Amino acid sequence: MNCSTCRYELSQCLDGRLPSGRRAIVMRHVETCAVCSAFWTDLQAAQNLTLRLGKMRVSEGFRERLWERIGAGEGTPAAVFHEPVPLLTKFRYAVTGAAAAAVVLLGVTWARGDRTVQRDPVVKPDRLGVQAAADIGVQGDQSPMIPMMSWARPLTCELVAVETAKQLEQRHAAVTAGIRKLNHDGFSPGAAGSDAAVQQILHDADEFCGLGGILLDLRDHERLYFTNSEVDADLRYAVSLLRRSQQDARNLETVRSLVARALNSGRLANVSRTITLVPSNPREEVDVLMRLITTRHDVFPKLFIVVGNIDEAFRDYDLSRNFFEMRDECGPVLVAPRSEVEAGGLRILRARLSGGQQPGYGVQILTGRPRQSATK
Amino acid sequence: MVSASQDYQPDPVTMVSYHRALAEHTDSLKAYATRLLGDSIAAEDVAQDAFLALYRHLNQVPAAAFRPWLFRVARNLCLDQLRRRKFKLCLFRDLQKDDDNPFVPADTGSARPDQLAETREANHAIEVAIGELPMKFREAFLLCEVEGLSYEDAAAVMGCPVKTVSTRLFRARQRFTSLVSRLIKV
Repeated sequence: MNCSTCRYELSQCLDGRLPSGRRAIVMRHVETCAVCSAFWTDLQAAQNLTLRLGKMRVSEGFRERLWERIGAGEGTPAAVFHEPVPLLTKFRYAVTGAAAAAVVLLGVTWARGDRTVQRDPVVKPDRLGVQAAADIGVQGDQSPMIPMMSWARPLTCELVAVETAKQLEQRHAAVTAGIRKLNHDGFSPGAAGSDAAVQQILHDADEFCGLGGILLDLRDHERLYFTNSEVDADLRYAVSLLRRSQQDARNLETVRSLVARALNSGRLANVSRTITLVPSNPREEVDVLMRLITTRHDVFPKLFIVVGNIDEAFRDYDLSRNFFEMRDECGPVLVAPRSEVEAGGLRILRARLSGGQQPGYGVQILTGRPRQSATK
Repeated sequence: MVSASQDYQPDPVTMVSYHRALAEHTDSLKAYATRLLGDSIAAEDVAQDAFLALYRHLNQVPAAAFRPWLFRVARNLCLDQLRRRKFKLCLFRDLQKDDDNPFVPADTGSARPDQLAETREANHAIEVAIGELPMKFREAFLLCEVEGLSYEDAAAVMGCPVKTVSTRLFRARQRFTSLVSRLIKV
């Protein structure tokens, strides 16, 4: 028999709670084990000591006082409800209730996934999109560490869809304008201007194809749908033709035979008006966005400028309206919609920054202009 | 208030049980509360409040359950006091310790003064050892070992399974034995 089991059962044995058969086994062990035998002796001696403990008596007037209280109605159920509650107790109950409500509210907020505080604040310097920021003058290697960005709103599929649709329409307008100009001016084989125009059209068409792919991905993941099914069909047709054009020779023939046919539909000029977004929970959003960033890593930087680390200046100058927090495999990072940056929507912030405590801070990012011209 | 007291009349048979409980359990209830609180005056108040609560619920508590019920109420009142005490300064705590210690040795009739002093010293050592047990173990020890409640009644008082009472009692005994080992060897 195990000694520790034996000791536990000896304690029960002392209270007479062990069945006789079991008691015999325990006692046999006690006879053979010196340690358990000593424990058993000590246990009995300790019990004798407690039995010798002195009695404790209530004071003489105990019963009289009790009957007085009962006689005064203190012991009646009705009186219980009339007992005065001290002001301090009332205050304590109120504070406890308020604290409990606050805890519940915090818990509910947390459970709903509104957790903008991120666990991994580290951003690798070679991450996706830093090159894109560098294109417009942001130094990607300025500081690779990004602080907790609890103030920034998370990047959502909705934002991605809206930004994609905006840019898609811009590319559509650029391609159709380019083709119209080409038809109007006529194409001169070998002329530098004509070749450049064709290459520009093909470049815009490639971008249209990438952006259209993102919208169709979101459509396939049921994050959005088109109110006009013909837009859906037109976009699919355009994207498939433009993918074929990427395989073909980069010349006028391809523009006429594939690009012009692909973007012929006028409905593609107003895609953003036909998009309806499907609400989803934040976890699904993160999954879809992660998949999108991974599979469309060539197109994503065209939509959003990855800002990198610009410290607390954003918080100090209340820039949270224009920046969003994106998560990828490297952790959280700030991004700004390219359309807003390029349209100068953030330019007003430049003045505020320039006039603030840190003049010129982050101007390149906010204006989207080359660093040399923007830095003061 | 008086009219309310007149309205509430427990039936006579129950009142007989109540009187008997008052005669039998008052001292042990006070002793239990004293050892939990370490304060005999507060313990007496707790015992009185427990009997008052029993009077309030006389028609709901069966006479056979008076004892565990009273201990349960006393335990809750003690825990309330201990919780409240955390936030209060315990002034004059040392002064009241010995003055209000109304322990009476079990049999003092024929004892010599030196024997009495020895018994008093042993009692003090035992009380100190009990006071050093952690609250959970102390509860089990006081209820089962000192007051002689069954495991089932102790479980009802402590609001835990019987097996837990058994385990806590075993642990309490282990600690208590080592704490009073000096007295045992003598």
